[in-house]
Amino acid sequence: MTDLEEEVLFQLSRQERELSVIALAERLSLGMKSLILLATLYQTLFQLEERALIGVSYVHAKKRYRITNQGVAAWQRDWKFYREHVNEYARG
Amino acid sequence: MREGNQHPPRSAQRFLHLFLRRDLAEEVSGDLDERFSKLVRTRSAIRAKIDYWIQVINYLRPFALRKGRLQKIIYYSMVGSYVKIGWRNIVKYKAFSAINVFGLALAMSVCMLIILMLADQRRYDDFHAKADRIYRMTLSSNYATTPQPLAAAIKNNYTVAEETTVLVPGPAGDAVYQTKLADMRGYFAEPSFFSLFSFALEKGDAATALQQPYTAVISQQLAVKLYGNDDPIGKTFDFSDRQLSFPQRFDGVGAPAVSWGTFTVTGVMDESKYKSHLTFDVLMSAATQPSLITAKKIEDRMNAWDWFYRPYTFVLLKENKSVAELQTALDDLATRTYTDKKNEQTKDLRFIPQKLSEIQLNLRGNDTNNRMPKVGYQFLIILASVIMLTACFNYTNLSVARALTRAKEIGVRKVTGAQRGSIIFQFLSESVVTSLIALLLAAGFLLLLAPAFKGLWLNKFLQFELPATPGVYGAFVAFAVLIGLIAGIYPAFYLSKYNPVKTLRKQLGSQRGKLGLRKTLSVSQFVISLFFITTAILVYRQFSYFMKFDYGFKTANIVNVELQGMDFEKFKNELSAVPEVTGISATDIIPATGTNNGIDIKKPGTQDEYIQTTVLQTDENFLNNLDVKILAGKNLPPRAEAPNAILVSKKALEKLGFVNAHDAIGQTVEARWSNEQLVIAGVFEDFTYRVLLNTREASPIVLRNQPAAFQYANVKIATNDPMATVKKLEAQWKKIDVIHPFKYEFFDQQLASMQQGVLDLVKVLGFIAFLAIAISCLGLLGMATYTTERRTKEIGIRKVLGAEDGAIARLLSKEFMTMLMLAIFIGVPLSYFVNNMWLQQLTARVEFGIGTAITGVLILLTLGIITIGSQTFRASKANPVNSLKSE
Repeated sequence: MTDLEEEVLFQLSRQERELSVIALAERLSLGMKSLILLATLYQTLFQLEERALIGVSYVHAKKRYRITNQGVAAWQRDWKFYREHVNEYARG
Repeated sequence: MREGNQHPPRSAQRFLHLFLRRDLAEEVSGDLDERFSKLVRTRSAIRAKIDYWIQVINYLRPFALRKGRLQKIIYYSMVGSYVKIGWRNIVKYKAFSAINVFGLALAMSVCMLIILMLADQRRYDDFHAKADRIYRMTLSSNYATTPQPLAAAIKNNYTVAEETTVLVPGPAGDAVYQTKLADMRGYFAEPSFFSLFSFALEKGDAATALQQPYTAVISQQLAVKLYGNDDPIGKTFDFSDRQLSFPQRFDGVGAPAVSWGTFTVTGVMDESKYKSHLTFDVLMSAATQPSLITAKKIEDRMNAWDWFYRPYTFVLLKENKSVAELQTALDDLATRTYTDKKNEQTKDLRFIPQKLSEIQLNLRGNDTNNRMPKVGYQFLIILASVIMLTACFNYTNLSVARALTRAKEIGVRKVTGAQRGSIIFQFLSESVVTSLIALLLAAGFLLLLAPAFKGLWLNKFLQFELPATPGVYGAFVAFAVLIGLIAGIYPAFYLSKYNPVKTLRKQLGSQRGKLGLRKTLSVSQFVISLFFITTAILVYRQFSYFMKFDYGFKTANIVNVELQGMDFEKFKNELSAVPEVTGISATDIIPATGTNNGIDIKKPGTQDEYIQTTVLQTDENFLNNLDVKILAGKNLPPRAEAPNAILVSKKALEKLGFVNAHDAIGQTVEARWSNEQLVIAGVFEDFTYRVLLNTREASPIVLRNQPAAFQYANVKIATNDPMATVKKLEAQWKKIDVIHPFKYEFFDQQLASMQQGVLDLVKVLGFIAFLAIAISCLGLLGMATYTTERRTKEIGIRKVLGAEDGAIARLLSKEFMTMLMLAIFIGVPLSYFVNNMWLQQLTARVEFGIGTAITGVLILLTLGIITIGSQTFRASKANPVNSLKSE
């Protein structure tokens, strides 16, 4: 999994609602502290969608993305998940 | 307010839809637009536009591309490889690459300069928030002006306009505050001016500044001149109109000062902030006009539909209205207004709306500022395109010539499965890489070229600033890619058609000797070079001829002093105290400097046609002062003695039908329009009155003595130190006029400066000729180098068999010399024919002549022979052992 894929799943997993590309790009930019090009994000979302890690719904003909159970599982396997837990453990 | 009007760059949108998958188009466009709007709100419009472009370009990746032919050709994984191979080839063949890059860079720098010029012009009036909806009304007869009542008529009678405003050039004279004086030129403007345009006031309230009579909005510069650091708002100035030339500014035209009264400053505008086709020092409230009309200070044209020479009318369309609807309204208005089809001036007249953003690049008659007409850009673009084409020819020539060295590579690629399309793409990638490298060098050349261009005399009037904005950089890159494609297209198709079996069996040798295209291109290059060389020589000779031209009057040691409304006799009396002054005369216009007035005359009581003459208002000393000979009769008498007396030139006499000059003395002629009866008091020798470029033949001239019209004093001085004498003249001037500055010019320098435009043309053409010959010689050098390299073994065998160096050099040069000769045979007649077309338009002209042709041919031959000789001589001197042992 690439850094961006991982970050996308991370951001989606924190949301209770579905996110548009623009909203996701803004969160990613903040999270990764760098400009996320929309084309790059689109491509990543396509790839995640193909692997059924994220789901898509349409609101006013515009795509909204959410993380799937498979996506959560995949992300939980990732080291970042552990890092997040380690950090929480350290804070707790 | 401006943010609301911002929209994503249309060119970027179009580009996106060109390649984006259709199923993604709506989604992606929507997201990009959303992001754009957000950036406009949070950052700036320019930042948002740049971001939009970056985002669009980033979509150029396989997943987003529409499936089509292009995608079948381009294997994206190979793009990096193509660029790498291209770069390796450039590095491997350094000499050829250097020739290609240098030639392309030279030509590209000129094209980039033109891109900068166009970008500069595009910046005009882009700051108006409602620019998309603002139109200037023009006339079908190419006038930029329209009748004054048009603005109100559109607004009141039709529903298309949200707002209209009219600008009438009017105030052009002296503004005086206490002891401070400043030239001031501007428009009468309505309060709607500020709601239509986005000019903002530094001080004052734009909504009310132009409401009351005798109020004015002045420029920051004028405010500083009149009031220094004080706050100008509420302060007054006295204004005297002198009818100075405005909006186009030429010095010297004017009239005696007429006081318009006292004006109150209600606003100050910083004009330096705006790049607009409208420039002015002052906007006087249009409400002042009725008072001035009543006082007979200005003429009443507020409701004149048949007078359309001065007012500029602007319309702001309603948001839901189109320009077609505006045109319909204007057509209806013209039909209703100009029902009198007998009036020659207004018959078939139409109003044509011109978009604000298109005004600067589409100069109309009596427009508001100096700028290059479209034909000027077309001329420059043609010149630059020709030069660019010659540079592309070099690339094509050298690439095709080197075809054999790449044949094996092409064969191997085809055998391993490459399609022709991908080979074409590979070669195009190489040419684009070469072109992009040339772009870097061209940018360096541009750094030298741009200041030189800005230094041209013409730029004093055209005022190009040549900005380097992000958009311009984008245009440069796009241009370089385009040039890469143009230069590489033929070699790409040519090389990609090779049969792999033949290339691998080395059977392409049979194609040697097929130099048709290469020869044609080389010959074309030299024809172009020869044409530019001879044209540059010819224009330079024409310039020299103009500089030495005998106008028929003496200009040496004459100082022309602008009277600026001062009484001539008063000034004349003051100058009598300066011993170096040997003569003084007065005139309304300085001859041969571009301005003229006319009068039509004929013998009274005859059915003869009126003859058009140029009229000069002078005093009785004018002819003597300028050493113009009186052929018959006497000099002009003082106005009081004979108000209807005139002098006529010899040409005027002929046109009037007099055979003998003495017969004309005392005869009466009738003036058209005024029906005055004028008496011929004398006849003088013809002199050149018009600017030389405009002179078709000696124009008939009439002299009259009307002191009220005098604008200049011609002061003849006898001194070894002219500047010291000028100081004395200035001292005398200051004694009688403490307000106006002393304005003078030496007559000979004044006339010489009229030829500066021609000198600029010489410089431009000389430079273009230099580029053309440099690029052609680079191409020739490449071809000569390649040919000698390929024939190294042949030369070795010939030398071993006893051939002499000279014979080998001749053998190698023969082909190139034939091309040069062919170029001369085509180029000389072509240059003669084309140059004679413009020469014939001038009466005062040089002839093309054999000298020009020979000089051009010698320059071409010398440079050509040096270029060819450098390679052939080297090859002929080489030791045959080295060439033969190499295989």
